[in-house]
Amino acid sequence: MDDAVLVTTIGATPWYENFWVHLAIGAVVAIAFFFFFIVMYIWTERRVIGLFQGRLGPNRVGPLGLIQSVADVIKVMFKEDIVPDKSDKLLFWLAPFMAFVPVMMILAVVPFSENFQIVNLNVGILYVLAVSAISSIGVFMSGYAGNNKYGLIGGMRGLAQFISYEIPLILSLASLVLISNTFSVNGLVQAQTLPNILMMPLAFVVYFVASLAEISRTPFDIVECDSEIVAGFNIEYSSMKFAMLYLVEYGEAVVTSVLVATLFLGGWHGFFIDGPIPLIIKMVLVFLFILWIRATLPRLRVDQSMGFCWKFLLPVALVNLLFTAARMTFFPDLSNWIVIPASFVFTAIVIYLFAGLFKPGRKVAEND
Amino acid sequence: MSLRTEEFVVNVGPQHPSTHGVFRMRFTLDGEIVKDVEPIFGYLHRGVEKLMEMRTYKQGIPMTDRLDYVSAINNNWPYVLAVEELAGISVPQRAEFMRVIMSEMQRISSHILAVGSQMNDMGSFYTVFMYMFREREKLTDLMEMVTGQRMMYNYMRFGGVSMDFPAEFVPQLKKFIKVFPKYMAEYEDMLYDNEIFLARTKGVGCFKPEDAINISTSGPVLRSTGVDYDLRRDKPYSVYDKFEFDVPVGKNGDVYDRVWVRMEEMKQSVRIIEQALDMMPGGNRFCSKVPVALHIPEGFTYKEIESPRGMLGCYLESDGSDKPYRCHFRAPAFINLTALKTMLVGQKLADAIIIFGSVDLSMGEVDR
Amino acid sequence: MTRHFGQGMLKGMKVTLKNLIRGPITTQYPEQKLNLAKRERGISLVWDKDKCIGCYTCESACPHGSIHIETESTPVETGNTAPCVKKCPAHVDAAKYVRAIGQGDPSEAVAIIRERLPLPSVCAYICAHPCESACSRGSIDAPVAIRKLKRYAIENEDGSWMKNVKNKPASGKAVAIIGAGPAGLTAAYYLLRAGHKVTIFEDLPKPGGMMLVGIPRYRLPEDILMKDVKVIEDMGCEFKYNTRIEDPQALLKQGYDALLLATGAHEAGGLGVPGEEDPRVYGGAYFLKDVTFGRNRPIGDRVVIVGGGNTAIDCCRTALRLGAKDVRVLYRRTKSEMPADPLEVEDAVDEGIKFQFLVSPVKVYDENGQFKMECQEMRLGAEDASGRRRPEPIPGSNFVLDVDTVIPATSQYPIVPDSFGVTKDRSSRIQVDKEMATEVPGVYAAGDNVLGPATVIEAVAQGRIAASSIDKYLGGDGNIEEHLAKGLPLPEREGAPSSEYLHKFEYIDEERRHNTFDSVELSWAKEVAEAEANRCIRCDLKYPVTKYELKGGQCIYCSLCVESCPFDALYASNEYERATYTVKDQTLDKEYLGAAPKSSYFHPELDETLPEQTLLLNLDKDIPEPKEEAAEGEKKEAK
Repeated sequence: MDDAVLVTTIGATPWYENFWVHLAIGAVVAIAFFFFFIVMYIWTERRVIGLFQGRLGPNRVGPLGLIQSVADVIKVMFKEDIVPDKSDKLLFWLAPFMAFVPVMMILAVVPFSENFQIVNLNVGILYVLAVSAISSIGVFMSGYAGNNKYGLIGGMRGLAQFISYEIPLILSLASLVLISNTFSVNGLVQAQTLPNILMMPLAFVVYFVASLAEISRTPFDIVECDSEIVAGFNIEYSSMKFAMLYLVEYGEAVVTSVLVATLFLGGWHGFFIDGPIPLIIKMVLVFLFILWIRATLPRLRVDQSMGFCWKFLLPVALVNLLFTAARMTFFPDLSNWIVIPASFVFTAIVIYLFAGLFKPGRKVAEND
Repeated sequence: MSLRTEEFVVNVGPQHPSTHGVFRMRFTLDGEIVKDVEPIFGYLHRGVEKLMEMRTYKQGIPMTDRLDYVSAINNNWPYVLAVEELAGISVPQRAEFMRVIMSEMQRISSHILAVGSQMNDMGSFYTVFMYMFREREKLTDLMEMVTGQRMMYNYMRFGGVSMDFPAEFVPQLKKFIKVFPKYMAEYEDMLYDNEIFLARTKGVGCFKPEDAINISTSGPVLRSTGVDYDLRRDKPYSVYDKFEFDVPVGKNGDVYDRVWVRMEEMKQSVRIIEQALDMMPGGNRFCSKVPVALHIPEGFTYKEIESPRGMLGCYLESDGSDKPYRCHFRAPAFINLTALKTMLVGQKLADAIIIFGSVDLSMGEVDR
Repeated sequence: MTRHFGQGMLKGMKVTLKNLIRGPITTQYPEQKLNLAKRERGISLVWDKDKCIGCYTCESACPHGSIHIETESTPVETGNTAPCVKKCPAHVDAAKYVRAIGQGDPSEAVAIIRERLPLPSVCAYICAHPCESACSRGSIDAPVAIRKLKRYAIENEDGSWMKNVKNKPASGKAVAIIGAGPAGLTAAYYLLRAGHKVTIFEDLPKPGGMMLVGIPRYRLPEDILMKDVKVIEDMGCEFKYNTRIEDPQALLKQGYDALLLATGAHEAGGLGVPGEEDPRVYGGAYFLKDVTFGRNRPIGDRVVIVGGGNTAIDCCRTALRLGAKDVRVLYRRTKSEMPADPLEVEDAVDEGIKFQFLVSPVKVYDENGQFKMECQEMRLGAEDASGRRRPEPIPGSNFVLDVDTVIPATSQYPIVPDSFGVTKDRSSRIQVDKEMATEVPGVYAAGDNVLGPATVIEAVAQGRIAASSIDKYLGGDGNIEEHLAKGLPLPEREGAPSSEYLHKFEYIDEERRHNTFDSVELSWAKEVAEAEANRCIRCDLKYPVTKYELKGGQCIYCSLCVESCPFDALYASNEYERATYTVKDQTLDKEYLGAAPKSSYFHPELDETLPEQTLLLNLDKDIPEPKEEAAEGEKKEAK
């Protein structure tokens, strides 16, 4: 194993600092974290969306309905596992895993605190991007394999959307890498003495919107889109395979909120204490914001979603990259007191300009 | 170079979240674009018209409730009017006002359902729906106060109405009409300024006034195209000539206009209720006792009213016995549905769903 | 204004946030106690075994066949009075005699009628039959044709009622009755039974009063009238015709111990418009009277009758029989507001009389020898005290009719000379007390001169009361009850009452109907009459219900059964509570309403003028009591 690629966070002296032991402990903690938060996110989503809508949400199973998700998982496990007769059996079996495993793998490079990270990969950002792209193949596979037209439409829509939104996503991360001078995720966090959201709000906006589309959440949930194509790619799935696809959805939400918290909100940096607690608080806040959006907005149409990506996000991301590159080239040592207001002003101007130019609907005679 | 593409056929319905009942459309899709649509209905056919021929006139009233279950009171009306004309029964003024008040309440509650579920089709995940249902719940409660039922009110009778307003009803209704417009302002904030809503609705499913008249559509679908025709104003029945109200008329005949017309009509209904409450005279709710097996002299008549979905007509023919010889309903939603193909072809699949939703049909009425 | 992408979405997010802060409106029932209004909810139907008589009305009313009843075939007496009997002014036991006809015994039926009605033949032809409008069968399809059945009984009796007649010994007192109309004849009959000597003074040359001159012969043939009068004559009543009594006090001095004024209401009201003095305006009551004695003025071809009562219908049909070609009736309201018997209106329409509704005369005048009548169209306005909608003229809708005769049939009133010495009201009706006694001792009054223009059966009812009180005045016990019927076993019935609809009335042929005064209606055959009588649901009996099944799964809670039950034996229970506004909801509306009202149901704006809730159900206990509300309000304040 090459030291340049894999570095344990602390020197290799006692037994517990052995690489394999560390990996095992880290994996257990990460997977526990992952599943715990998936379950909690499902509960949070149902409760919070309910509250947004003036409902109560699930409140019967356990205190405050906390173990509702557990009950649902138990129910779903005992459902009959139906495999459609004319489906592509191999892909049908494979798809949930293809979608599920990469999502979980992303957590490997997320630093939970300064010293605790499963793998401190020096190309962590590239790893995240590469691995998350695999998940979209899983989604398409599941849509295709079920031999269902709704599923196929959903899968196609998903694939198109994921590929498109990767680009602004990558571009906004590139600007991040530019100012932090590192590809390592932990390095990025360590570099954030002030959170990146303050340093480059435009990149944050682009990243956040693009990752909403990546995890197909409102207003970009055209993959599932239950009012049109019923449940989209997972329509033919049942039982545990369905549960896995369902978990993918929330797993992505967990991972995305963790990444947003890590990359833009200072990760494990906290106001008083550093470590996992500030990280968790931040990721939950990010998730609540996602829920707020979901509670408010209707869904874009598939072509409008694409248009939004290519006509709005991509140019904005490019401008942002150029601007950041220019700043790092010409004024590398500018004081934060200048950079923060300047970048907010810049963000406001860019969004204002591009938002004025961009119009999602087709043109009609104005009614009012 | 062009890729070889293939059209494919998708069945939407009869079990589908957005078909508002059990309606089925067979879409021929080219990618996302609808090339052809074939509406298939009859899944909810219960033979109501035939059932009414086998029941006495009075027993027919609960049958009419079940035509358009979303606006049951409006459905009582043309039938009751027809019987009253044939049998020469007169209606006391108080009962006329009570009918107007109840049917305008029903109109509001029906439009709430239409707009709310329209937003659902658009992917707004029940938020607007739930907010609007908060108001609808009050209406339903108020109507339950009077009739003892929440859906199949079975309210109108020949020569009057089944029950008088209870003492606590009028103050509560006054309170409701005072509060309701302010909640309406909130919904408008959520709809009319929302770019995604505008992008999804403006210029979608455009429908020309000539087509609308040729297909003989009625109700909001007709008025959204700019044809200014409302039976309540143009052929006033009951006591509608005593009220002052506007008929909202759209311009483009798109989904936006249909939603707008419905929202405006709710406000106008509130106006009518306000005036009706002020003008309501005392007296009886009944002119005389009508027997269960009312015998009607030979003859036929056609009566129509403006239901929330359009012109609802009832053709009634009597052969002198206690049962109708023929009872036919001109169901507005059924005729509006025939406009579907004109609106849908050439649109995206996602739009097709919301256009379909904007026609606002209830299958009970279409299939009868 | 260019709108920038994103602004509106933020606005929407503001609204959702606002609603998040408001908190949920749904509730965790039953954990969270709700502030609920208690109210009826048509959920569980309750059947009252005691009130139910097993008439199967609810079963026939149910649109889904979800009610199933089984009854015993033997009835029991309940002691209830049937609505027809209650409604009849003379309380003739219609329920009983209809039953007797159904059992095939018309003589028994006549005996039952005779117990309370000394003019059965007259009533069999022309009674206004209030019993039929009260008939419980009317809530199923149509009321039993009680009058028609009575006619069948009268025509087929054998006179066996006479066997049970009991006359009291002669008292030696003499009573003078002025007027041989229904009230006078009735009183005479019962006073004779009580042993008094009765003399009837009549202005006209024949007996009958209004029955003779107010009712055309095609409705009441003279021999039928005379049949009833003859019974009274045979009992020893003395008739003095062509005798007009001006001073009743003189009669008392002549040796009569008591006096009954039954002079009727023979004067016709005018048209009430300019020009009504013209001789071609012919008061309805005068017209009918003149026709009776064959001394009527010629009426020409075009006759217009103004009014909508029974007199108007009598006039128009009489005019038709006198040869008028164009007979029309003007009425200022609509058909459904007409006070006339709908069946007679139908007959009139059948005979070719034209009805013009919502029309009122403005004036009548002569133009070059042609009599003309200007009319005005009306529309119905607000309801008046009687619940009928008041007609209002439509300005500028006047039109002119060419007529030969105008017959106003709008009103009739009695003329009581001042020499009678009794108190009168504004419509010159005699004021009497409950006993029919005037202020003058020994002088009683009954009939139309007390009631104003009314029906024969009402006059009979008053005649009965007057007879009873005169008997008491003369020293008798005042008991005029008779027991003529021999009594029949209660009729058995399997299952529901006959489901047949009202049997058809047969008429004489059109030729005779148009040109002669022959009686229009034909009699019923035995089978028809018995079938019609068996339509009666027998409200005064009870067929005990052995099984009452309400199929809950089928029931749609349409409440048609509850509405149709003639005896209130079915009602919806109030076991279920329901929500109007929850506590949370109230606080929500506060934002827009200002201060929340103290309680959710009691409101200061509560409209006092609204009538009490007239549900079919007994709701009294469910209207929130103000006491509780106040207490709740105090509690809230205390907190």
